[in-house]
Amino acid sequence: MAYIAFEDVVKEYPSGSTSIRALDGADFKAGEGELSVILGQSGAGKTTALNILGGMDTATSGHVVVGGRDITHLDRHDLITYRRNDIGFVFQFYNLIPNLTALENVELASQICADHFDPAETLRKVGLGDRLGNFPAQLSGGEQQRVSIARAVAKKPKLLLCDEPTGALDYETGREVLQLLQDICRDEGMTVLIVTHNAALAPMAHKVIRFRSGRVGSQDINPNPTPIADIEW
Amino acid sequence: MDGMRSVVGGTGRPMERTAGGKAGIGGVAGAAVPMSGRDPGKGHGGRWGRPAGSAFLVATLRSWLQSWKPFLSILVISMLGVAVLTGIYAGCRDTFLAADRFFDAQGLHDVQVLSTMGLDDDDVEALKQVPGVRAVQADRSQSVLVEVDGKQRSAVIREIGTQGIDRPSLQSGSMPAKAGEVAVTERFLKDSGLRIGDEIDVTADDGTDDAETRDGTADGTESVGGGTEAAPSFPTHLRITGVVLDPSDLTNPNGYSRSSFRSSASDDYVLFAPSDGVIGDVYTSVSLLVDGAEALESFSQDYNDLTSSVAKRIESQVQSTREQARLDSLKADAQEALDDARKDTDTQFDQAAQALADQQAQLDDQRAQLDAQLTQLGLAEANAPPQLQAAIQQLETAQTKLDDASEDLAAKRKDAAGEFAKQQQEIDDLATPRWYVQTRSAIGGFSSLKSDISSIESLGKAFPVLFLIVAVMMSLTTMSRLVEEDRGLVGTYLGLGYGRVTIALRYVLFALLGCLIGGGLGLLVGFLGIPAFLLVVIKGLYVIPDLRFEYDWLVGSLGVLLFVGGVVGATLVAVVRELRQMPASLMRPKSPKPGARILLEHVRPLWKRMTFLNKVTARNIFRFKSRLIMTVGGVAGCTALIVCGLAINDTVAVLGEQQFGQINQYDMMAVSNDGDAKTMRERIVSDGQTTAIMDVRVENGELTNASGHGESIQLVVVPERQLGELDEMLRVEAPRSEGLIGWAASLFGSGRQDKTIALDDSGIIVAQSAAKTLGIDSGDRVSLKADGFVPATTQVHAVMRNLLGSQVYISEDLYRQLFPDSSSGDADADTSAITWNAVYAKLKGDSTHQRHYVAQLEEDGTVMTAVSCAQQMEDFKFDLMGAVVALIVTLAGALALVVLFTLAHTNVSERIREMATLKVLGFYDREVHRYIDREMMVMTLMGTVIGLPLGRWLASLLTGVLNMPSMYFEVTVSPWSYVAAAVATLAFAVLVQLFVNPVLDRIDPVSSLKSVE
Ligand SMILES: Nc1ncnc2c1ncn2[C@@H]1O[C@H](COP(=O)(O)OP(=O)(O)OP(=O)(O)O)[C@@H](O)[C@H]1O
Ligand SMILES: [Mg+2]
Repeated sequence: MAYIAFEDVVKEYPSGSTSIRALDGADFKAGEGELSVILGQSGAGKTTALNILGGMDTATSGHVVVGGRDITHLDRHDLITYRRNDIGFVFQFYNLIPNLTALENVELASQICADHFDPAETLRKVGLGDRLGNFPAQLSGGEQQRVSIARAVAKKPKLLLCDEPTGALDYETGREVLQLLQDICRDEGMTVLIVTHNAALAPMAHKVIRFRSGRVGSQDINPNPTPIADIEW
Repeated sequence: MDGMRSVVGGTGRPMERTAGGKAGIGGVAGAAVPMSGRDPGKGHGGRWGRPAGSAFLVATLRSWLQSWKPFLSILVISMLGVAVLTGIYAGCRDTFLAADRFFDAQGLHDVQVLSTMGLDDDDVEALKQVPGVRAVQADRSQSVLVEVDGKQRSAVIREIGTQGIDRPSLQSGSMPAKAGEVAVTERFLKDSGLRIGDEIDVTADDGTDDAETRDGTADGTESVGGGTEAAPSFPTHLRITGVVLDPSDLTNPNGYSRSSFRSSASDDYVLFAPSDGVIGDVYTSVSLLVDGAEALESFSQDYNDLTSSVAKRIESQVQSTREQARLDSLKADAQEALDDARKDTDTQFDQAAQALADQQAQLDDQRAQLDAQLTQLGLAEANAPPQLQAAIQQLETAQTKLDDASEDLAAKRKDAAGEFAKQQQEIDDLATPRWYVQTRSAIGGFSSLKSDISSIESLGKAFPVLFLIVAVMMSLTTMSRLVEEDRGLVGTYLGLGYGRVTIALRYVLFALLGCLIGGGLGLLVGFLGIPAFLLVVIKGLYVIPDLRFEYDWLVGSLGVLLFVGGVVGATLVAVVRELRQMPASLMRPKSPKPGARILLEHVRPLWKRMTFLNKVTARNIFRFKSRLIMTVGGVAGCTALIVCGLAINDTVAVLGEQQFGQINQYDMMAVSNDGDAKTMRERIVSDGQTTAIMDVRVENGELTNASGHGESIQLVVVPERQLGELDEMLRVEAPRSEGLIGWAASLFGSGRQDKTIALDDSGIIVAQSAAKTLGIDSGDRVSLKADGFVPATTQVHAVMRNLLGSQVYISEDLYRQLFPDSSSGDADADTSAITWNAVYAKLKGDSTHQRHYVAQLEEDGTVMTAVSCAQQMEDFKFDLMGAVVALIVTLAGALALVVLFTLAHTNVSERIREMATLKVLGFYDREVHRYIDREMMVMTLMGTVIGLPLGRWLASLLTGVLNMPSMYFEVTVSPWSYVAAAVATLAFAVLVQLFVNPVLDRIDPVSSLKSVE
């Protein structure tokens, strides 16, 4: 039984008289403790799928099951609780609170979860042990993204969702960030989903899910993921 | 908008990337306010599809529709501001204009001339010749006593003018036309319980020369004996034919002002009679209308200047010659009468002497005959027969009688000569009559209306300034935010080649529109709403016919213009600040305010103990410095306004208690006519209700400062032997220091020293409430005029704390010294020159008992007025001020609400992304609310804490502006006012949160975090 089951999910956005179908019966699965990569053209519905999975949005129809729990029809409050306890999000834009130091940004997340990693320790793990007291404006983009990852991870989420985490980063920094995600998946046994445009990243994942116009085109399982360090693009 | 947006949208992705890469965390703009649009994907075709101009227009209009919240706050703030600016002014102006119309319609005199000895036709003729005088009317009036509600009350019968000056306005019934008819005021009917058609009897009030009437009516005329002229005299049996409104007294008899502190000023009833039946050719006064005065507004400076100039001209050109001429003619008349009398008497005496002489001759004849008979008989007188003996006896008796008679005559002649000499002396000593040339400001009803309304008007001038400042601050905040949200869009337009002016216009027009609509609504409220409210109160105080709403184009337009200027100016500042940047940098999101350590963090023990969210709140508060200043400033301003309003209310509320309960240590003041002084005092003593009594003399006077500004005052002469007792009857102490220092001192209670002042012969003590109007201080030289005397210069020994009334205290010796002829005024007694016509007394019993006793005492015929401090304290009210304060507090509250709302809205819209992040992290709605609300609450608290003392300070500034004669506002703020202001402000903050929280709930993290823009 897969950890994540995305079954025949339809997402419609009303737009005037007609409606836009962002997801049109998307269907995929992902295993626990695995790193999955979602690929697809722009507008294919990747972000939409991720948002539904992360409890930020709800499906129009279909079923979304995470860790054996059907989250399709959760109400507003339960969705928040779900996000709070089970989900960690990483965005292309790091969305750090500018007024909080790196440590405090992480604390902001950890303090609302009963069971969490130590914020300072988490930052140390992402390689920012000596930048705890810095404000976001004093950090580079890659460093900010690492704070953002630390913030997502510190909550001990069941699911780490990353939407184009390297989109705003240069090649080297992007590699470092991806390496970090891969390490987290491996070391902490966390289930990780990464949305990316970069098909070259496919080898790093346990599973590659391809989106095409709101549907899942293919799901390839990769029994031996390549470490990021060995991938060049 | 679509067309334009597509430029960004279509090429969007690469741009977003670079932008995000450079700026780190995305800009905040597009997310919350749809203005900068996020219509995904579509509209590619629109790029060239529409003429740019119309697209721009459409986009602009759409963005305006979407920014309704900032629009609303600009609108409401402008509305409140314009309403405050124009409203109080309009209410006062309506009152002034209506009163002016009424005065003009009734021909209320511009100048009036009174004389201590009346005026005659020659005076009238002379006044007619003065340049600038349009019409002249000789008035006759008589002081009478009339029974009102079982009591003899003094009243004045006035002849209804023949030249249309000072015409009473008929309210009901008909104007009296024949002798024996009379029109009365509503107050008279109300007090007497009579109705039209009823009859009254009046008796002439033979001027016991009391202070009230001495210069009001020409009582002097009657004392000049023997002249051919006669003082005016009216029929004494009168039938009431109508009720009239006296233009010189607009006090509303049915309103609440009768019991207010002013009412004691005017006490005589006025009865209006036609010329028919009036005897006498000496005029009490001459009323004048001034050329061109009717066109001017009676309460304006221009009017004042014009009429004063004519009054001055009369004083300099005709007064002294006519005074002398009048004296000469009075003397001539009296002399003639005396001479006639002397001649008559002389003739009578001569005739009597002649008669005596004749009798003597007869007697001598008889005696001669008798002697002849005796000689014939050859008898000696002793041997005469009995008949002759008897005849001789008779003759001798007759002779003795005759001798006695002529002796008598001689004595009488001497007496008469003495009497004539005395009368001659009186004529020679006749004092020069004194003229009083007065303008309308001498009319009590006129000046009380003027000062009441003017004080309100001055409040109305001070408050709008604060509203304007707040309005500018708020539009700066709002518009800066609006432009900031549109950064990318503005950059795009600039990139497309739109001119800066066109783009700026988009915002300027937005603000202008909000301001104009708000201003228009403000004018409606200002010229209709607020006056409607004020007029209700004003109508309770004064009867002013034809009181209606009037629009003032100049002030209305200027008011709106002022706010348009402020708001549009602020908008321009905001827009220009953004537009100065290059398009490229505009299209990049504004880098968010970097975080920084705050001072508090260095207080380690404290910082460590704070919860995480408290730390975040603390940091956030100090992160946006300008927002902190705006919020704290705005809230402080509004709290201050509320405190200030309540403080004025408190100050007025305690005026009565402070004056009548604390400063006035005496419980009763009773005044009698000079003639009754002794009787009254005896009565009071025999009543045995007093625990202490002090004799004084109370009279009307005038105090003039160095620059020639004069005010009428109540002169209190204190007997030399009781100088030391003054401070038992009054709390004679130095004024309390004003402003923050005084306030701070009062906080520490008795830290202030109540410095007492003693009255001595070195100068006068002036009540603070009078001193302030004249701007005089201790040590100043002033000119003091006692009733009926020539002004004398003296020194102000001290100013004494006093809130109501305009008393001036003077010692007996100084009074004699300044007004030396006070002893020759009284014919019989050089011993007690000053009549102690009043007493201050402390009474036994509680206040109810005291009020009862004083009311009873006032019934006594010898008592002119008796006032109980307990009663005055209870009666003291100042409703007009209360109404204005209520108005201001309401408006300030509304302003506070708008300010808080605007700031909360700006705050939220600036930080949508932050909120979205919190939501993604899994913050519950309540937690998100708290995150924002806590900041607002802390800032509101800070604002409140600053606003409370600020309001106190503002109140002392404003009461300083309220320069009302015979009133001194000693700022007092009850602790409850602070509590009320703080609670109200905090309640507003909570209310605003209730509005803001749903907005927070509606923030959608998905769309908010989607892109950088
Ligand atoms: N809030 C919305 N309202 C209407 N349509 C939407 C909304 N969000 C997404 N869509 C539409 O749904 C489709 C899928 O969008 P989604 O953001 O999931 O694409 P994506 O695969 O993430 O693309 P990209 O790689 O460009 O990020 C798109 O066609 C988009 O226009
Ligand atoms: Mg996407």
